[in-house]
Amino acid sequence: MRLFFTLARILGLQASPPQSTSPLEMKSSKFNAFFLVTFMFSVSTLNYANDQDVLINNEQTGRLMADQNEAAWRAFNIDTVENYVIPNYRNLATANRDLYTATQAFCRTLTTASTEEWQSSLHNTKKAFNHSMDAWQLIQNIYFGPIEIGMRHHSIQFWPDKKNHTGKQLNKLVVSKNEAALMVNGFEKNSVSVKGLPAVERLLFDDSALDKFQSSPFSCEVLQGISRYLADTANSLHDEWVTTMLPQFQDAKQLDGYFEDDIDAATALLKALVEPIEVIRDLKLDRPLGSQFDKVKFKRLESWRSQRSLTNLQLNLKSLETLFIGSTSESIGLRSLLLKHETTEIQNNFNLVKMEISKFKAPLEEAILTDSGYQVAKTISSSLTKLHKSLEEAITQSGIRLGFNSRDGD
Amino acid sequence: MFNQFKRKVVESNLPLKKGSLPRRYFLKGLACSALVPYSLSAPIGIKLDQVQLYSAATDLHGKHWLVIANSSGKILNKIRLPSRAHQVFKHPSLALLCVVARRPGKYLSLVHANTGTLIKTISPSKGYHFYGHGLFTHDGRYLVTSENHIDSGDGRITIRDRLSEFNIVNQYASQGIGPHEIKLSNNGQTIVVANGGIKTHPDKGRDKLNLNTMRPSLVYLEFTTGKLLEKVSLPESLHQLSIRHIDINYQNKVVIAMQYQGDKTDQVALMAAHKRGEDIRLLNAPIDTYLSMKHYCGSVCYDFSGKYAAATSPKGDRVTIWDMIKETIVDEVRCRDACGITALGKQGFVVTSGTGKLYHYNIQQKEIKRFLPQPSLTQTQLNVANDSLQMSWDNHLSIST
Repeated sequence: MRLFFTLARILGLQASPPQSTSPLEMKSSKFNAFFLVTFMFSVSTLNYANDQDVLINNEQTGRLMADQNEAAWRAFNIDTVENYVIPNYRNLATANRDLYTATQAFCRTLTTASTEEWQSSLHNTKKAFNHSMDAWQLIQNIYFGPIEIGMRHHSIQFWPDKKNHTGKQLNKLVVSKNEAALMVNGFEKNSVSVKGLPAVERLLFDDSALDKFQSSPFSCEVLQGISRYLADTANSLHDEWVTTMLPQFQDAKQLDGYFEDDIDAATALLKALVEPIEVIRDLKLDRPLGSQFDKVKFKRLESWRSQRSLTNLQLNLKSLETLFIGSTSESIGLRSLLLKHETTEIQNNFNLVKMEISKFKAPLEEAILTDSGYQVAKTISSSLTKLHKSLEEAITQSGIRLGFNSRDGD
Repeated sequence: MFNQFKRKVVESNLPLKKGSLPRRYFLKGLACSALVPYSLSAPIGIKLDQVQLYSAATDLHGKHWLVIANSSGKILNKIRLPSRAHQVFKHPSLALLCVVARRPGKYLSLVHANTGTLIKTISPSKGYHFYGHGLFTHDGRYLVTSENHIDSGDGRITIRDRLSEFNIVNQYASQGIGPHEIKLSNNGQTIVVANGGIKTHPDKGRDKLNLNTMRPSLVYLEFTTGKLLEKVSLPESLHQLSIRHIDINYQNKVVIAMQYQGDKTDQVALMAAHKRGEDIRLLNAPIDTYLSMKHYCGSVCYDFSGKYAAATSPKGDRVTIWDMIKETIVDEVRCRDACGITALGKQGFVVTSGTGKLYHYNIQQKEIKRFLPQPSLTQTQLNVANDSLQMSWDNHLSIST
């Protein structure tokens, strides 16, 4: 029955009356009618798709290739965008708005309050930063769509920063005391390296942060300027997904649309599940770990200043697992579209990585400096390879190619 | 809201100038639904019946093939290959195809273009490997390949004679590391080499060994002697831009499609042009366009007229079209995992993708459309019927004629 509500919701969306009678919308309403019919015929298919006990790709009846099963993939796409992507961007928008509020309050205390009040306000601002970073780690894996425009992914988080651009540019900006560079219009012109969370982290997580803010009040203006940009950006990303991206998934074949068809749209979402695993392994673990223990560099960890690199990993894994399982109890996660032995293997690999991560009793920044912690981190790296492989193989077998030339070209 | 999806020619004259681009929202994708049958305009339609497409491909099980297809992607013949191949090219007059193994290439096969029969397989000389590219001379007599002399890591151009069982008759330095694509000048007397600059060693697989010191170059050599006629490079600051794929038009103007090996966040141009005696010039495009190409071009070719060039960027799911007289971008379209590209008919290109699909891009209409083998079929039937969908088309595409 769960399925029926999901289906009804999708149908409700698809079948909503056109708001205007422009030719394009007429076209899409015709499409809606077509989808409705398609959905009627695919109810039984979808029914299986959403039932944990009877999978669509039953081991006995064999596999339905993605191309033959577009309706089920469309349902997966819409469900994922509505219940995973959009809520995660909404969380980011809320957290970043709170961060902006917290930085404003903090900067006000600098001139008026007591030392205790500064300290407590700084503490609150750090907490707000952590909430923003938490929210970002849950949606960092989306590299396509609105985030591609205007380099917003790099702007929110410029990392890894191999040449210390953030440090240099941030210093330049603080010294400049250029008010115009912090205005809404002027801020865009700043280097991407100072626009986002790593710059906020540098300002807040500094042993002499309070001294610095007091000796250079403009740095607090910078802190507020960045936070406002983060709040505005996350808000726009959320709005753009709701108004512009979601319709692309509801009607993937529309004229001059973002996607070619439902399978192409599913490919984009599945890439956001599979490809980040390699990014996490290569950048968040292997690069700091180096080739051997004496080559370890903890300052290459993603959030070493705020000592939250381990939390980042946990949140990344949680987010990816949600994409695999489904966001809500009614959700059509990827697993309902794979064969049972595949989903078991993938789930086991998720569990393995989570279990290994839970072994750390200290922040990653400290743990990898010990021999045993270093070994655990290395093990996680190879478990991520296993997880990646199992996901990629299962998805390929379902007839979706995440990338051939894009992955290994010459 | 729909205005955001309207087709728009990209306008910009300065490469990498911040903030100068028109605020586009989404790049356009397919011009028509895949469900709507696509009928080609007459001049191209006539051509279509006569052409064959050649490409390396890999199936869902990871097996590698040389594929001979008709213009709509229907596979006419396929030949199993021992490992992944790179470029396939046809002899100018005979029904003879040459397929070169991808770097570090251990074989080169000659295949009958109509029957798909394997004629001969050639191994590189001891101590050498292929780089995946080659060509037949205009008269069809010589087979030329870019190769690596493994011990020294220096690039070589090797010439084999078809009339003496493809024995090596000449070999000379490519004047750089990692020679990749090669082209002949119009009169056939000069060979143009894209020295990618990246050192690799077969013992280290496909690892890149000299990213900090690499220095790619475009080199012109006298075909008969190998004498260095001209060598050009980009400025030192762009030494990590690997010059890998090139094409040459009737005016001997070379279009260069590059791959960047530097930091992910660097903002660099990826397309350039060169004429003998001049400097390499970067092609103009908005910064967002170059960024969306994800530091990577997979393949490049001129159109029939030589006025336009098209490049594929599979990592960015993009096809970009360039006016080579004005040296500026004229159009870009989204196309998933697009890589193989070749000119078809007047002002058109065929594009193949790693997802097994085939597209036609029309320069005048600025549209990309998907080829449908049998327009009367529904999408599902079509996909089942179309065995090429089970194939990932590899890096490069060639066409008969």
